[in-house]
Amino acid sequence: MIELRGLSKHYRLSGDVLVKAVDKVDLTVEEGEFAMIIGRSGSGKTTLLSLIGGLTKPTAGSVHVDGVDLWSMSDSEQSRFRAEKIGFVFQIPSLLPTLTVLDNVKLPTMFSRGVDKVGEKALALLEMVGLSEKAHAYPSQLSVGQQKRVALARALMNGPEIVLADEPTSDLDKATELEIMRLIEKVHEEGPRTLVMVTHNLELVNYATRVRTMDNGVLSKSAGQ
Amino acid sequence: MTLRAAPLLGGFAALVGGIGLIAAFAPTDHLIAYAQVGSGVLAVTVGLYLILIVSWHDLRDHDPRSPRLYSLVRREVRRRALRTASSGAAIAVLVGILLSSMLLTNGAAYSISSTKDKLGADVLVVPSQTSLSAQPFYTLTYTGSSAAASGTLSFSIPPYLEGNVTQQVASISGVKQTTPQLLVTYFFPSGGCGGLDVVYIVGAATTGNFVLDSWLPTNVSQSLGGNGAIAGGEVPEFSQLPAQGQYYGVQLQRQATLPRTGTFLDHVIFVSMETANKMLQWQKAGNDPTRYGMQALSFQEGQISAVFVKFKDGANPADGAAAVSARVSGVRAYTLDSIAKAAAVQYSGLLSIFSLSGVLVWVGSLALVATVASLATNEMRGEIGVIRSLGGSRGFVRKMVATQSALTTSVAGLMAILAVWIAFNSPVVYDSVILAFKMPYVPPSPSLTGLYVAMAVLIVMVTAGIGALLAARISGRMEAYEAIRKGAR
Repeated sequence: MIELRGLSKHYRLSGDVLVKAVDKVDLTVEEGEFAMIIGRSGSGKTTLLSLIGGLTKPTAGSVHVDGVDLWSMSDSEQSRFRAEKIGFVFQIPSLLPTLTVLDNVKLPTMFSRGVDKVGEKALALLEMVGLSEKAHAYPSQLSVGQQKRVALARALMNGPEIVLADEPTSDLDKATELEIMRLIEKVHEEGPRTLVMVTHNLELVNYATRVRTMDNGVLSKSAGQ
Repeated sequence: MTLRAAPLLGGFAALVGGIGLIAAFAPTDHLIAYAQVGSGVLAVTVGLYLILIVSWHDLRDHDPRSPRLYSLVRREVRRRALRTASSGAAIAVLVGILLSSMLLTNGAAYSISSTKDKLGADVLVVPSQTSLSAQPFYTLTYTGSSAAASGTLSFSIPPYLEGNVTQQVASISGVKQTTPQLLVTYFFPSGGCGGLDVVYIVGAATTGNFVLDSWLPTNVSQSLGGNGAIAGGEVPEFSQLPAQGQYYGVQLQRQATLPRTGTFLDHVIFVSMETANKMLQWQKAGNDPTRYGMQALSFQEGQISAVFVKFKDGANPADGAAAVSARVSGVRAYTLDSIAKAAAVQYSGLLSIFSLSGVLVWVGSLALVATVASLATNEMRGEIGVIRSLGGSRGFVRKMVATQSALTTSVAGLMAILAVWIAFNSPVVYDSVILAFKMPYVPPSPSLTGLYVAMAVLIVMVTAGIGALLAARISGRMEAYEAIRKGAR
């Protein structure tokens, strides 16, 4: 379960302008839920996701994952926690260009204990996203859609209980978008996993079990579904 | 086993081959020297690349292990070869300049002091027309002036002194010993191109020659007897000289070789006064030396070029030099101390520039390493962000960028040290330094060279360490998500 209480992230820009990227957000995502946060570009969705994942330090408020306060941990404890509990899928292609597809998928196991049969598991995940034949290719040899599928496989490598997906379908054509969303749905159902996805695409709301909208850093209380 | 046998063995073979090629460095020809050293350094570079970068296994499909930190670093280095090579080359150049200036500065000082000590003379008596101020150490080889025209050096021979000057000097109060020397001729074995390899033939006394005695393991009369010759440290084998050592009708026999001094003395072939006279008689018999590529001899029988003087213990060489200049007509006497001092003063400006440039270069190298570390880390920020998001701690990221920075800097720095060390022990650089800078130079002793190399290694390690720390610091400050977004731009 994910619990956000009074979560804020404010930036001070030059000229002393205060930007409230995320402001006093309260949110609870139950275990096994597929929560979708929708909003326009610049509404603070991505910042919220990075706060949930412990990648950005909040200005105020708390993030509890499975009852553990993320920001009460040391950096190494938090990193280990992230490696074992959370899988990320980013809006932008985020594979390491110097590693093959297979090694990119294996990469999270560097930071996690107790992942068995790393090679076999990585190949199985590539099989799941339909890219096993590209295992030895480099990211630059893949399309954006294929890279996002690899990133999804990588996010699942350590068997995380939570998957955070940031605009996983942006910059994709309709067919690829559908393909990615089916995979995400499968990841959610077969886990079962808690899934938080942010997107600006209103057409995707049907995949989620709960939808919230975000505007100017504020999460609305109105449910879209 | 995480290493592949073929590139590992190939790497070691190239490394050993390269070091062997360099160790067997005994060139007789500059072109071969360049080729030998160049090939050696290239082989060592290829060897290190194969061992450190290529030989590591990529994980197999069913490999139960995760990628390792060094694997990430190695692949980063390999995939961004141009960036690695250019930053490594910049570091290598800077380290090379730094070590070169250290060796040059100390080699020059060592050359001046050791030459002065080894000559064993207190005073040098030369024709009054000889200019000491121009090139003090040229004076020791009797070339009063030199001029570079169209890239070719030519030397003028100062007027000769009558032979009785030696006796006149010997009769002066306080003089313990005198020994005359005669500049017979000089020639350019390589055709004078760039002034390289000028060789002088100098007549020397076979008895009471305290100058040569101090250098030789055997006595001078034994070495110069018959057509014997004592060659300076840089004179090639006679078989490689024009006319294979046969000059003015005399076939010279090399009996001994003097140690290097870093001065033009290294380019002298000493013969006995009798041999010099035999050469003169050959010319007087109607033979034309120009037909054999030699210039005509201009001295007369019994003439000399200079007298080296040793004073009795307790006598003041400066007073002795003044007395010689006053009482013997047509000569000027200089103390060896004043010559060495004049040399030291003359080169001090140049040496200061080298010393200063060494310090500036190190400061510059720090700035460069810092810039490279900063650029490389910023270039990697997307990757750093991804690694952080996957569970890599700040400590892991710091270790990764520090390893990469240290690997590049230290390998490049050590390669530069190796190259400079080889270059400064090669006759190519030796001749270039002396002739290009008109500067005495001799490689410092092995222990001193070792000390300089150790200092350079230390400097490389400190520089690499600073670069690594800086890279680590920059990477540690990055906000992971921000790094991913900026890294994609």
